[in-house]
Amino acid sequence: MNYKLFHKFVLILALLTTSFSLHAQVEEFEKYADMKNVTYVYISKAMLSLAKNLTTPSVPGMDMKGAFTKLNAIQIITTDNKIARAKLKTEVTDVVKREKYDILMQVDEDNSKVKIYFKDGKKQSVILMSTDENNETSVIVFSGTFKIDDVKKLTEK
Amino acid sequence: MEKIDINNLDINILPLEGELKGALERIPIPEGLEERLEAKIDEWDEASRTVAIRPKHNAKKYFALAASFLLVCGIGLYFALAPTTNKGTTDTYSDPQLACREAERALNLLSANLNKGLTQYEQAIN
Repeated sequence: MNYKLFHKFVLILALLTTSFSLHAQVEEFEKYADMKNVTYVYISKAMLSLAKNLTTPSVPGMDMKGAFTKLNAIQIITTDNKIARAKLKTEVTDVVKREKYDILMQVDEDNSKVKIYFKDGKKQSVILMSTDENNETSVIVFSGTFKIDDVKKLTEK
Repeated sequence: MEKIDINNLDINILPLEGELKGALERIPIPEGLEERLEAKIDEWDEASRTVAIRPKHNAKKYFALAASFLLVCGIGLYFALAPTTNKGTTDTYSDPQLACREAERALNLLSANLNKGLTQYEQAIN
């Protein structure tokens, strides 16, 4: 009897853990919301669906509304703090390695380094863009149900 | 070795006993000694009874029950409080207009960087 109860308990716990791990965003960056000297912005799917009707096409040929529809969440992490920058850069390196992201693009200029990574997931895809310029590091994480073709559309002029 | 038979020992202890009794009787008994003794005996009796009455519960069982109860409560509280304490999944903007501007800015930045990369690539291959 006790064993049956224990098994049920473990099963419920496992289900809860699974359901909570299916986040719409990239969990690894959530902790930066509470970090000092770091600006963390989170835009949820619900907010994006409200915002999509307010978009104005600022870039010719770019389907902003369509992009909003396909996104589940946007996370923006910015910092000019030396320690936080180092931590953020290590985090990006770890995440792309562990989650097997593909590097889509790397732009190195005199005072700026931009890296764009892409992960085509079964449940959700992620574009991770890390920018390191002057004394500021920023990471923008786009999570959603898009494909590489949708990313290509963003480059069309 | 010679054995000594206690029954055949000719020792008269009676006069000694009488003397001891007399000496003890001469010692004054403190007032209220009997009551105090009785009270003390009652106290001991009570204490021993309390110990005797205390049920022999299976301490492990109750400890396990309490521990699992606390564990369940802890997990419950964790999940109940998690959404409110996790700033990482809380919308930064409550105004859709502001959220829209920020999302547009992020997408434009991505587009600009993708284009920059493509331009460099095109220049390199031409």
